[in-house]
Amino acid sequence: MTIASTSPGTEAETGKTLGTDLRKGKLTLPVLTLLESASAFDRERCCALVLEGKLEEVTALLQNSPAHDALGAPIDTASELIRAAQDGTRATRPRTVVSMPSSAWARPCRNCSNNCAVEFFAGPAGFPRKRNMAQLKIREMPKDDRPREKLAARGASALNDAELIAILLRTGVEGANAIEVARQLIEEYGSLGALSRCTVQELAKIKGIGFAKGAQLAAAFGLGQRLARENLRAAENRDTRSRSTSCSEPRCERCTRNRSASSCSTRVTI
Amino acid sequence: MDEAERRRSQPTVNARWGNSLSVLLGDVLFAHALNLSTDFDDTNISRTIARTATEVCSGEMIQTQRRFDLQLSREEYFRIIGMKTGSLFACAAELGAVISGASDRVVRRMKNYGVKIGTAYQIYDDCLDIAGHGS
Repeated sequence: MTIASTSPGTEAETGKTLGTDLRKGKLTLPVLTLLESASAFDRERCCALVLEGKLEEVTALLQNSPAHDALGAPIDTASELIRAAQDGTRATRPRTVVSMPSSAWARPCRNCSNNCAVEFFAGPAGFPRKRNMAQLKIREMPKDDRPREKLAARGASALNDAELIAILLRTGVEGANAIEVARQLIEEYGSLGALSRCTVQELAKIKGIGFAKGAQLAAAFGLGQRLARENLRAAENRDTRSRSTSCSEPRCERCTRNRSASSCSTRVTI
Repeated sequence: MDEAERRRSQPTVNARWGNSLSVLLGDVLFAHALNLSTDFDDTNISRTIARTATEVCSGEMIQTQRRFDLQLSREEYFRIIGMKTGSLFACAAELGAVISGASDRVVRRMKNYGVKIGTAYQIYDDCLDIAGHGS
Protein backbone atom coordinates (compact mmCIF):
# COMPACT_ATOMS: atom_id res chain seq x y z
CA MET A 1 0.00 0.00 0.00
CA THR A 2 2.98 2.26 -0.07
CA ILE A 3 2.73 4.89 -2.69
CA ALA A 4 6.16 6.48 -2.40
CA SER A 5 8.15 3.27 -2.51
CA THR A 6 6.39 1.94 -5.58
CA SER A 7 5.38 3.90 -8.62
CA PRO A 8 3.32 6.86 -7.43
CA GLY A 9 0.90 6.46 -10.26
CA THR A 10 0.34 8.70 -13.23
CA GLU A 11 -2.95 10.30 -14.16
CA ALA A 12 -3.61 7.43 -16.54
CA GLU A 13 -3.04 4.88 -13.79
CA THR A 14 -5.05 6.65 -11.10
CA GLY A 15 -7.75 7.69 -13.54
CA LYS A 16 -8.01 11.21 -12.19
CA THR A 17 -6.56 14.66 -12.51
CA LEU A 18 -3.60 15.03 -10.17
CA GLY A 19 -1.93 18.06 -8.69
CA THR A 20 -5.22 19.82 -8.06
CA ASP A 21 -4.62 20.33 -4.32
CA LEU A 22 -1.65 22.63 -4.67
CA ARG A 23 -3.16 24.45 -7.59
CA LYS A 24 -6.14 25.21 -5.36
CA GLY A 25 -3.98 26.19 -2.40
CA LYS A 26 -4.90 23.13 -0.32
CA LEU A 27 -2.14 22.42 2.13
CA THR A 28 -1.96 18.69 2.57
CA LEU A 29 0.17 16.56 4.87
CA PRO A 30 3.17 16.22 2.51
CA VAL A 31 3.34 20.01 2.13
CA LEU A 32 2.85 20.58 5.87
CA THR A 33 5.60 18.06 6.60
CA LEU A 34 7.89 19.78 4.12
CA LEU A 35 7.21 23.19 5.68
CA GLU A 36 7.71 21.86 9.22
CA SER A 37 10.98 20.17 8.53
CA ALA A 38 12.55 22.71 6.18
CA SER A 39 15.23 25.12 7.27
CA ALA A 40 14.19 28.77 7.63
CA PHE A 41 15.59 29.58 4.20
CA ASP A 42 13.93 26.60 2.50
CA ARG A 43 10.71 27.27 4.31
CA GLU A 44 10.52 30.80 3.02
CA ARG A 45 11.25 29.64 -0.50
CA CYS A 46 8.73 26.87 -0.15
CA CYS A 47 6.04 29.20 1.17
CA ALA A 48 6.57 31.52 -1.74
CA LEU A 49 6.27 28.66 -4.21
CA VAL A 50 3.07 27.42 -2.54
CA LEU A 51 1.51 30.87 -2.54
CA GLU A 52 2.43 31.44 -6.15
CA GLY A 53 1.00 28.07 -7.01
CA LYS A 54 4.29 26.89 -8.53
CA LEU A 55 3.14 23.34 -8.70
CA GLU A 56 6.09 21.85 -10.56
CA GLU A 57 8.66 23.40 -8.23
CA VAL A 58 6.92 22.30 -5.04
CA THR A 59 6.46 18.80 -6.44
CA ALA A 60 10.11 18.65 -7.38
CA LEU A 61 11.09 19.86 -3.93
CA LEU A 62 8.90 17.22 -2.29
CA GLN A 63 10.10 14.40 -4.46
CA ASN A 64 13.76 15.23 -4.61
CA SER A 65 14.46 15.92 -0.98
CA PRO A 66 14.54 12.54 0.74
CA ALA A 67 16.05 14.16 3.82
CA HIS A 68 12.74 15.92 4.39
CA ASP A 69 10.88 12.68 3.95
CA ALA A 70 7.85 14.76 3.14
CA LEU A 71 6.15 11.88 1.34
CA GLY A 72 7.48 8.97 3.38
CA ALA A 73 6.38 10.35 6.75
CA PRO A 74 2.72 10.96 5.79
CA ILE A 75 2.54 7.48 4.25
CA ASP A 76 3.91 6.01 7.45
CA THR A 77 1.24 7.95 9.36
CA ALA A 78 -1.46 6.52 7.07
CA SER A 79 -0.10 2.98 7.39
CA GLU A 80 -0.07 3.38 11.17
CA LEU A 81 -3.73 4.50 11.06
CA ILE A 82 -4.68 1.42 9.05
CA ARG A 83 -2.91 -0.84 11.54
CA ALA A 84 -4.69 0.92 14.40
CA ALA A 85 -8.03 0.57 12.59
CA GLN A 86 -7.48 -3.16 12.10
CA ASP A 87 -6.38 -3.62 15.71
CA GLY A 88 -9.47 -1.78 16.90
CA THR A 89 -11.81 -4.22 15.18
CA ARG A 90 -9.93 -7.39 16.00
CA ALA A 91 -11.57 -7.82 19.39
CA THR A 92 -15.01 -7.21 17.95
CA ARG A 93 -14.88 -10.11 15.51
CA PRO A 94 -16.79 -13.00 17.05
CA ARG A 95 -14.34 -15.82 17.61
CA THR A 96 -16.75 -18.38 16.24
CA VAL A 97 -17.09 -16.70 12.86
CA VAL A 98 -13.43 -17.28 12.08
CA SER A 99 -13.81 -21.03 11.97
CA MET A 100 -17.38 -21.05 10.68
CA PRO A 101 -18.17 -21.19 6.99
CA SER A 102 -19.98 -18.08 5.88
CA SER A 103 -23.01 -20.22 5.04
CA ALA A 104 -23.55 -20.74 8.75
CA TRP A 105 -24.48 -17.16 9.43
CA ALA A 106 -25.39 -15.97 5.96
CA ARG A 107 -27.94 -18.30 4.49
CA PRO A 108 -28.32 -18.06 0.73
CA CYS A 109 -31.10 -15.94 -0.64
CA ARG A 110 -34.20 -17.85 -1.59
CA ASN A 111 -34.87 -15.62 -4.55
CA CYS A 112 -31.74 -16.29 -6.50
CA SER A 113 -29.01 -18.79 -7.01
CA ASN A 114 -26.24 -16.30 -6.25
CA ASN A 115 -25.80 -17.25 -2.60
CA CYS A 116 -26.42 -13.67 -1.55
CA ALA A 117 -26.67 -13.31 2.17
CA VAL A 118 -30.21 -12.13 2.66
CA GLU A 119 -30.76 -13.74 6.03
CA PHE A 120 -27.71 -11.90 7.30
CA PHE A 121 -29.15 -8.56 6.27
CA ALA A 122 -32.54 -9.49 7.58
CA GLY A 123 -30.67 -9.31 10.85
CA PRO A 124 -29.82 -12.08 13.27
CA ALA A 125 -30.91 -9.79 16.08
CA GLY A 126 -34.26 -9.13 14.46
CA PHE A 127 -33.28 -5.80 13.03
CA PRO A 128 -36.48 -3.90 12.26
CA ARG A 129 -36.14 -3.56 8.53
CA LYS A 130 -39.26 -2.63 6.73
CA ARG A 131 -38.73 -4.87 3.76
CA ASN A 132 -36.87 -8.08 3.14
CA MET A 133 -35.54 -9.36 -0.18
CA ALA A 134 -38.84 -11.01 -1.15
CA GLN A 135 -40.66 -7.74 -0.65
CA LEU A 136 -38.10 -5.72 -2.54
CA LYS A 137 -39.33 -4.67 -5.94
CA ILE A 138 -37.32 -6.30 -8.70
CA ARG A 139 -36.23 -2.93 -10.04
CA GLU A 140 -34.80 -2.20 -6.59
CA MET A 141 -32.68 -5.35 -6.64
CA PRO A 142 -29.04 -5.25 -7.80
CA LYS A 143 -29.02 -5.35 -11.58
CA ASP A 144 -27.17 -8.67 -11.75
CA ASP A 145 -29.84 -10.35 -9.62
CA ARG A 146 -32.81 -9.23 -11.69
CA PRO A 147 -34.22 -12.16 -13.70
CA ARG A 148 -34.45 -10.39 -17.07
CA GLU A 149 -30.94 -8.96 -16.84
CA LYS A 150 -29.60 -12.31 -15.69
CA LEU A 151 -31.33 -14.08 -18.57
CA ALA A 152 -29.94 -11.61 -21.09
CA ALA A 153 -26.42 -11.81 -19.69
CA ARG A 154 -26.07 -15.47 -18.83
CA GLY A 155 -28.85 -17.34 -20.57
CA ALA A 156 -31.90 -19.21 -19.26
CA SER A 157 -29.82 -21.96 -17.67
CA ALA A 158 -28.45 -19.46 -15.15
CA LEU A 159 -31.93 -18.84 -13.73
CA ASN A 160 -33.75 -21.03 -11.25
CA ASP A 161 -37.36 -22.10 -11.80
CA ALA A 162 -38.82 -19.25 -9.74
CA GLU A 163 -36.82 -16.65 -11.65
CA LEU A 164 -37.92 -18.04 -15.02
CA ILE A 165 -41.56 -18.02 -13.95
CA ALA A 166 -41.10 -14.51 -12.53
CA ILE A 167 -40.17 -13.29 -16.01
CA LEU A 168 -43.52 -14.58 -17.29
CA LEU A 169 -45.43 -13.11 -14.35
CA ARG A 170 -43.73 -9.70 -14.76
CA THR A 171 -45.21 -8.26 -11.58
CA GLY A 172 -45.80 -9.47 -8.06
CA VAL A 173 -48.29 -8.38 -5.44
CA GLU A 174 -48.06 -5.94 -2.54
CA GLY A 175 -45.42 -7.33 -0.20
CA ALA A 176 -44.15 -10.06 -2.54
CA ASN A 177 -42.27 -9.53 -5.77
CA ALA A 178 -42.73 -11.67 -8.87
CA ILE A 179 -39.91 -14.02 -7.83
CA GLU A 180 -41.54 -14.58 -4.46
CA VAL A 181 -44.96 -15.22 -6.03
CA ALA A 182 -43.32 -17.73 -8.39
CA ARG A 183 -41.46 -19.40 -5.55
CA GLN A 184 -44.64 -19.80 -3.52
CA LEU A 185 -46.38 -21.19 -6.58
CA ILE A 186 -43.76 -23.92 -7.09
CA GLU A 187 -43.71 -24.65 -3.38
CA GLU A 188 -47.48 -25.04 -3.30
CA TYR A 189 -47.61 -27.53 -6.17
CA GLY A 190 -44.41 -29.30 -5.22
CA SER A 191 -42.90 -29.49 -8.69
CA LEU A 192 -42.83 -27.88 -12.10
CA GLY A 193 -44.57 -30.95 -13.50
CA ALA A 194 -47.48 -30.61 -11.10
CA LEU A 195 -47.72 -26.90 -11.83
CA SER A 196 -47.70 -27.52 -15.58
CA ARG A 197 -50.78 -29.73 -15.29
CA CYS A 198 -52.85 -26.93 -13.74
CA THR A 199 -55.64 -25.44 -15.80
CA VAL A 200 -55.90 -21.71 -16.40
CA GLN A 201 -58.87 -21.60 -14.04
CA GLU A 202 -56.90 -23.25 -11.24
CA LEU A 203 -53.95 -20.91 -11.72
CA ALA A 204 -56.22 -17.86 -11.90
CA LYS A 205 -57.49 -18.52 -8.38
CA ILE A 206 -54.03 -18.10 -6.85
CA LYS A 207 -53.24 -14.72 -5.28
CA GLY A 208 -51.02 -12.70 -7.57
CA ILE A 209 -51.76 -14.78 -10.67
CA GLY A 210 -55.22 -14.05 -12.05
CA PHE A 211 -56.61 -14.93 -15.47
CA ALA A 212 -54.05 -13.23 -17.75
CA LYS A 213 -51.00 -14.55 -15.92
CA GLY A 214 -52.64 -17.96 -15.55
CA ALA A 215 -53.11 -18.08 -19.32
CA GLN A 216 -49.51 -16.95 -19.87
CA LEU A 217 -48.20 -19.69 -17.61
CA ALA A 218 -50.39 -22.35 -19.22
CA ALA A 219 -49.26 -21.19 -22.67
CA ALA A 220 -45.58 -21.34 -21.63
CA PHE A 221 -46.00 -24.84 -20.23
CA GLY A 222 -47.87 -25.84 -23.39
CA LEU A 223 -45.02 -24.56 -25.54
CA GLY A 224 -42.55 -26.42 -23.37
CA GLN A 225 -44.48 -29.65 -23.83
CA ARG A 226 -44.64 -29.19 -27.60
CA LEU A 227 -40.93 -28.49 -27.76
CA ALA A 228 -40.22 -31.61 -25.71
CA ARG A 229 -42.45 -33.66 -28.02
CA GLU A 230 -40.76 -32.17 -31.09
CA ASN A 231 -37.33 -33.06 -29.75
CA LEU A 232 -38.50 -36.56 -28.93
CA ARG A 233 -39.90 -37.00 -32.42
CA ALA A 234 -36.68 -35.76 -34.00
CA ALA A 235 -34.69 -38.21 -31.91
CA GLU A 236 -36.98 -41.06 -32.88
CA ASN A 237 -36.71 -40.12 -36.55
CA ARG A 238 -32.98 -40.34 -36.33
CA ASP A 239 -33.37 -43.79 -34.78
CA THR A 240 -35.73 -44.91 -37.51
CA ARG A 241 -33.54 -43.66 -40.32
CA SER A 242 -30.55 -45.46 -38.92
CA ARG A 243 -32.40 -48.77 -39.25
CA SER A 244 -32.32 -49.15 -43.03
CA THR A 245 -34.69 -52.14 -43.11
CA SER A 246 -37.59 -50.21 -41.73
CA CYS A 247 -37.35 -47.50 -44.38
CA SER A 248 -39.71 -49.18 -46.78
CA GLU A 249 -42.26 -50.12 -44.17
CA PRO A 250 -45.52 -48.19 -44.15
CA ARG A 251 -46.02 -45.57 -41.43
CA CYS A 252 -48.04 -46.54 -38.43
CA GLU A 253 -51.47 -45.01 -38.74
CA ARG A 254 -52.57 -45.53 -35.19
CA CYS A 255 -50.33 -42.96 -33.63
CA THR A 256 -48.94 -39.55 -34.45
CA ARG A 257 -45.35 -40.71 -34.07
CA ASN A 258 -43.35 -41.20 -37.22
CA ARG A 259 -42.82 -44.85 -36.59
CA SER A 260 -43.06 -47.68 -39.01
CA ALA A 261 -46.10 -49.86 -38.48
CA SER A 262 -44.16 -52.92 -37.34
CA SER A 263 -41.96 -51.11 -34.82
CA CYS A 264 -44.74 -49.01 -33.30
CA SER A 265 -45.54 -50.09 -29.80
CA THR A 266 -48.54 -47.82 -29.32
CA ARG A 267 -51.52 -49.84 -28.32
CA VAL A 268 -54.93 -48.68 -29.34
CA THR A 269 -57.58 -49.78 -26.92
CA ILE A 270 -61.10 -49.95 -28.15
CA MET B 1 -14.64 21.20 -5.95
CA ASP B 2 -11.10 20.59 -7.13
CA GLU B 3 -12.24 21.25 -10.70
CA ALA B 4 -10.56 18.04 -11.76
CA GLU B 5 -11.12 17.01 -15.35
CA ARG B 6 -11.09 13.27 -14.84
CA ARG B 7 -12.15 10.77 -12.22
CA ARG B 8 -12.01 7.00 -12.64
CA SER B 9 -10.67 7.64 -16.15
CA GLN B 10 -13.92 9.38 -17.08
CA PRO B 11 -14.56 13.07 -17.66
CA THR B 12 -16.00 14.57 -14.46
CA VAL B 13 -19.53 15.94 -14.30
CA ASN B 14 -17.89 19.30 -13.77
CA ALA B 15 -15.84 19.00 -16.97
CA ARG B 16 -18.89 17.96 -18.98
CA TRP B 17 -21.70 20.06 -17.63
CA GLY B 18 -20.08 22.75 -15.50
CA ASN B 19 -20.14 23.78 -11.88
CA SER B 20 -23.79 24.59 -11.18
CA LEU B 21 -24.97 21.27 -12.55
CA SER B 22 -22.34 19.43 -10.53
CA VAL B 23 -23.46 21.13 -7.32
CA LEU B 24 -27.09 20.27 -8.05
CA LEU B 25 -26.17 16.67 -8.83
CA GLY B 26 -24.37 16.48 -5.49
CA ASP B 27 -27.53 17.76 -3.77
CA VAL B 28 -29.57 15.13 -5.60
CA LEU B 29 -27.21 12.39 -4.40
CA PHE B 30 -27.50 13.49 -0.75
CA ALA B 31 -31.28 13.68 -1.09
CA HIS B 32 -31.30 10.26 -2.74
CA ALA B 33 -29.32 8.75 0.14
CA LEU B 34 -31.87 10.14 2.59
CA ASN B 35 -34.69 8.88 0.43
CA LEU B 36 -33.23 5.36 0.46
CA SER B 37 -32.73 5.54 4.21
CA THR B 38 -36.48 5.92 4.74
CA ASP B 39 -36.79 2.22 3.86
CA PHE B 40 -35.68 1.59 7.42
CA ASP B 41 -37.90 1.99 10.44
CA ASP B 42 -34.91 3.07 12.52
CA THR B 43 -34.65 6.87 12.21
CA ASN B 44 -31.08 6.70 13.52
CA ILE B 45 -30.03 5.56 10.06
CA SER B 46 -31.30 8.64 8.25
CA ARG B 47 -29.99 10.80 11.10
CA THR B 48 -26.50 9.35 10.69
CA ILE B 49 -26.60 9.93 6.94
CA ALA B 50 -27.79 13.53 7.34
CA ARG B 51 -25.16 14.26 10.01
CA THR B 52 -22.47 12.76 7.80
CA ALA B 53 -23.53 15.01 4.92
CA THR B 54 -23.27 18.02 7.25
CA GLU B 55 -19.87 16.91 8.48
CA VAL B 56 -18.44 16.22 5.01
CA CYS B 57 -19.62 19.58 3.67
CA SER B 58 -18.39 21.45 6.77
CA GLY B 59 -14.97 19.82 6.37
CA GLU B 60 -14.84 20.94 2.75
CA MET B 61 -15.93 24.45 3.76
CA ILE B 62 -13.19 24.77 6.37
CA GLN B 63 -10.65 23.47 3.87
CA THR B 64 -11.82 26.05 1.33
CA GLN B 65 -11.55 28.84 3.91
CA ARG B 66 -8.03 27.81 4.82
CA ARG B 67 -6.65 27.73 1.30
CA PHE B 68 -3.19 29.28 0.91
CA ASP B 69 -3.08 29.66 4.70
CA LEU B 70 0.47 28.79 5.65
CA GLN B 71 -0.46 28.94 9.35
CA LEU B 72 -2.52 25.77 8.96
CA SER B 73 -1.35 23.33 11.60
CA ARG B 74 -1.05 19.57 11.42
CA GLU B 75 -3.91 19.26 13.95
CA GLU B 76 -6.18 21.42 11.81
CA TYR B 77 -5.33 19.34 8.75
CA PHE B 78 -6.29 16.16 10.62
CA ARG B 79 -9.51 17.77 11.80
CA ILE B 80 -10.41 18.73 8.23
CA ILE B 81 -9.71 15.33 6.67
CA GLY B 82 -11.42 13.62 9.63
CA MET B 83 -14.55 15.60 8.78
CA LYS B 84 -14.50 15.41 5.00
CA THR B 85 -13.34 11.80 4.55
CA GLY B 86 -13.15 10.11 7.95
CA SER B 87 -16.81 10.76 8.72
CA LEU B 88 -17.85 9.45 5.31
CA PHE B 89 -16.06 6.12 5.80
CA ALA B 90 -17.28 6.02 9.42
CA CYS B 91 -20.87 6.38 8.26
CA ALA B 92 -20.53 3.42 5.89
CA ALA B 93 -18.83 1.22 8.50
CA GLU B 94 -21.20 2.23 11.29
CA LEU B 95 -24.41 1.73 9.32
CA GLY B 96 -23.16 -1.61 8.01
CA ALA B 97 -22.86 -2.75 11.62
CA VAL B 98 -26.22 -1.23 12.60
CA ILE B 99 -28.06 -2.92 9.75
CA SER B 100 -26.46 -6.25 10.62
CA GLY B 101 -27.91 -5.96 14.11
CA ALA B 102 -24.54 -5.58 15.86
CA SER B 103 -24.29 -4.49 19.49
CA ASP B 104 -23.66 -0.83 20.42
CA ARG B 105 -20.07 -1.68 21.29
CA VAL B 106 -19.42 -3.19 17.86
CA VAL B 107 -21.17 -0.25 16.15
CA ARG B 108 -18.90 2.20 18.01
CA ARG B 109 -15.82 0.23 17.07
CA MET B 110 -16.82 0.01 13.43
CA LYS B 111 -17.38 3.76 13.38
CA ASN B 112 -13.92 4.27 14.81
CA TYR B 113 -12.53 1.87 12.22
CA GLY B 114 -14.16 3.95 9.47
CA VAL B 115 -12.70 7.21 10.78
CA LYS B 116 -9.19 5.74 10.80
CA ILE B 117 -9.42 4.06 7.39
CA GLY B 118 -10.98 7.20 5.88
CA THR B 119 -8.26 9.43 7.34
CA ALA B 120 -5.55 7.06 6.09
CA TYR B 121 -7.19 6.98 2.66
CA GLN B 122 -7.20 10.78 2.49
CA ILE B 123 -3.53 11.00 3.45
CA TYR B 124 -2.62 8.49 0.72
CA ASP B 125 -4.79 10.39 -1.73
CA ASP B 126 -3.12 13.68 -0.81
CA CYS B 127 0.31 12.11 -1.28
CA LEU B 128 -0.78 10.69 -4.60
CA ASP B 129 -1.98 14.09 -5.75
CA ILE B 130 1.52 15.46 -5.31
CA ALA B 131 3.67 12.40 -5.95
CA GLY B 132 1.77 11.27 -9.00
CA HIS B 133 1.80 14.66 -10.60
CA GLY B 134 4.33 15.12 -13.34
CA SER B 135 5.97 11.76 -12.79
